[in-house]
Amino acid sequence: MNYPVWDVPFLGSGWVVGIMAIIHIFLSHFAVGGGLFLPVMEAHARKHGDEAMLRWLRKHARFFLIVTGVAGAGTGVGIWVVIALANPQGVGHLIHGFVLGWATEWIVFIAEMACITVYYYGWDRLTPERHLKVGWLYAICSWLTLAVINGIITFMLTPGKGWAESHWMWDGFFNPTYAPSLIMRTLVMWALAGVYAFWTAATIEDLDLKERVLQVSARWVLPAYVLLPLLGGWYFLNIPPVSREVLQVGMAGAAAGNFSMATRVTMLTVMSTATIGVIVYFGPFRNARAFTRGMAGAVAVVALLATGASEWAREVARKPYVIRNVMYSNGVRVEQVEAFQREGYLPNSVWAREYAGLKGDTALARGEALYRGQCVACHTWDGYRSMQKFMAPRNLDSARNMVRMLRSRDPRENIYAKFMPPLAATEAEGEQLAAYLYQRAHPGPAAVARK
Amino acid sequence: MSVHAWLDDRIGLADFLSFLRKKEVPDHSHAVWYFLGGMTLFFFMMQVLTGLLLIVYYQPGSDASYGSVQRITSQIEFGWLIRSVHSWSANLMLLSAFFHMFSVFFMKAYRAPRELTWWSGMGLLGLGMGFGFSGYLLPWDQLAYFATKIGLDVMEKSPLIGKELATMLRGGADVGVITLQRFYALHAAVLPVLFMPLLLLHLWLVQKHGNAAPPSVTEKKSVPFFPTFLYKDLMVWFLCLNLLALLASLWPWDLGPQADKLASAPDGIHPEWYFMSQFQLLKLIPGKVGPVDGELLGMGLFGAGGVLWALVPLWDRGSRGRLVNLVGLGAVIVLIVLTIWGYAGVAGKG
Ligand code: HEC
Ligand code: HEM
Repeated sequence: MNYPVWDVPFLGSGWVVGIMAIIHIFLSHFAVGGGLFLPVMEAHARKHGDEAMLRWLRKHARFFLIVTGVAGAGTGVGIWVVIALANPQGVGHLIHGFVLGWATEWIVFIAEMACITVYYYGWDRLTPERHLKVGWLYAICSWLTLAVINGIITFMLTPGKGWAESHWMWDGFFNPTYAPSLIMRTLVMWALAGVYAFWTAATIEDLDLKERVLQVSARWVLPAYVLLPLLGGWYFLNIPPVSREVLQVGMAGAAAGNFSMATRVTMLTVMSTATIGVIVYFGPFRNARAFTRGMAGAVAVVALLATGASEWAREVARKPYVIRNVMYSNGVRVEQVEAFQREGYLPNSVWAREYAGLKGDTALARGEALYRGQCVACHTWDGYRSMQKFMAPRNLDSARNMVRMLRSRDPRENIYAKFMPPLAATEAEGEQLAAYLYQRAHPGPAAVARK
Repeated sequence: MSVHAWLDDRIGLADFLSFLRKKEVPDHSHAVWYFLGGMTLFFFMMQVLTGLLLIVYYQPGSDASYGSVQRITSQIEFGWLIRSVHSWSANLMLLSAFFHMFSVFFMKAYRAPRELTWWSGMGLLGLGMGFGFSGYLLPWDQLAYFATKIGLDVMEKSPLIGKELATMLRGGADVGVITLQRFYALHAAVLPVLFMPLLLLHLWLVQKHGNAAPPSVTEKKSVPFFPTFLYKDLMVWFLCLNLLALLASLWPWDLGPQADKLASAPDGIHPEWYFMSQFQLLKLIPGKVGPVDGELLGMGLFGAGGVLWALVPLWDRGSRGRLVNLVGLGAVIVLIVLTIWGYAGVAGKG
């Protein structure tokens, strides 16, 4: 089966998914971390009879409800929309593979929404004990949403040996990176709970209260600060060696040296973490009274950057697959490659064939259909990973050779095999693709003459 | 004896700290603009740091330049990072310097006794643009070569000493190895030697007079420089550092094909953004306006505008406050419109 292609000019569909995902993660992780933050703080305040803090907490709960219930849930739907557009095959595969998982996710999510609504609106109506119980229930449900989705997300990167043999859902679910990822994300969520609390605490007028709240909130950031490097190492050891290699050597041959994903992501992570450390130490810890919204915003922006960097690394480690060893980023399943290379991509792909047909079914039109079907999942023409730029220095022969090489699945023959899927098409289709790419990058009569 | 006490005995640390604690920075709703000078300073320090590292591997020369930059980006450990940060930070330094200039303009911080602060600032901006122009040629790729060629041609048309200056910089009739050599000397020796003392003067004057609060602010509130303002300043610097790391990671600086004098200029060749408004103005003015050469007129206009701008502390007198604001607003709009127009004109061509 194949679907229409979502061609996002300049940015590429991958970035649209990425941006949406990073925003959603930033909000939804707050939903989970903040879910624990609320009852813990409430219990703390009640134990010490701290009425002022309870009043602040109520305001914070309102902020929490709006951020997670509206923006968090909204971007969650947004993710479904964009991934369904960007990679319908991948989404289809995940839905089929994890029916029970999705059903569970749906139920705990509904329970989570119900709890937070009761928690906020029942603030005065419930007895303190009962209110607190609802809070704890919320914390559990929201954490379960993570525990479920984490199985599916980590499956995409590391389906694991067990699943490869059994194809049993739970083998895929509890895959090699399930545990490290779950713990890492939980810590990040606690840290984000602290970061968001800085935001509402920054404008507290009672300076004593402000100091109390900020200093307690700062402690939520601490575990992630101390443990993430260790957990990151554990996670790294559990991803497939090929992915490790991709992270370490970086992309393509052109920019060698130290220009690797691992270096770049490590740098961004170290830098953003250090920044958060400095701001949190000199702010909420040492000068809580002078802490401002601007500073809280700065911490949030940097935390967003850190989130983005780590999600980006995960994304790159998965290349060239959406689901490792199962499906490539362009929606071609690994098991289909051989048939496509023998029988052709267009004969097996309704939408691509239609597309070429609409454009007159010429050789160039077929090349274009192939480009859209197998390349625009990762390349744009003149923006991100610009094909124009890659093709400009090549002549027709060199474009042909490149495409011919792409058909091979052997990394010794195909130097791109580590980060690009093999071209799943016949040799003749490959020629059409090369001709199309070359023509489009060298428009005008000169190109034809040179041919 | 503690380190603190040891240092205190020798350099008077306690005096210094208590001095910093007494120093005040005005606090009002426009106070965010006070960060801009510090940001410019931060980016300048990054320039010095990364520049010194680049000097270690950079070699001027018609083949050497390109080769050495290629080596820096692809072989030297972290060379790509240093080079990308240097290029990004250069742009951000000028960007924040422009914002800084306009903010002090609208806060009327150039008024007595801060005229010299204003003038030294103008000088710094001019030298900063000189850094940008001379640095751009150094990789000696196609874009650098042709952009510099056009830049010098424009300079040639400027009134008064334009022709002499252009010839001197170029070192002959054509942009070539001598030009490269001279630009390197300018970029890595002459300009720093001029910039540093001027910067010290600027900072000393700022320190001497303190920050000016805009006339619209009547309530006298302030925060101590140490630790409150310094902490915020530091935070902003850290944010800038993050921004640099992000830009360098996501969009590492490019290196085009090696300069080839015989090739035709790439389509849509244009100068860096901070010269774009002049460039566009020259494009708009016809070749001859009456008896006067169009380009000469254009550069003359720009020059006159610049002089008027620089002299604002002298003509902002009495009740001219509103007029000055209008002039400032006009200048901002003209610069922005011309720059965007310039980019629209070359879009899709290169
Ligand atoms: C899984 C994502 C993915 C897909 C799908 C993909 N590519 Fe790529 N491609 C990459 C990455 C990553 C790079 C390295 C980019 C870089 O160096 O910035 C790359 C680089 C390239 C280059 C430049 C290589 C060089 O060293 O000059 C070419 C040409 C190219 N791809 C062509 C194609 C073609 C043709 C297709 C479709 C048949 C395709 N790609 C599909 C990810 C992909
Ligand atoms: C290019 C490098 C420059 C650096 C590194 C720099 C640095 C600084 C710093 C650190 C301050 C104190 C903080 C602040 O008020 O923002 C300052 C103040 C000032 N600068 Fe600059 N500056 C530069 C360029 C300029 C330019 C281009 C102008 C304008 C022509 C300018 C005019 C001023 C004035 C008038 C003040 C005093 C502001 C006040 O009193 O509030 N500076 N500069």
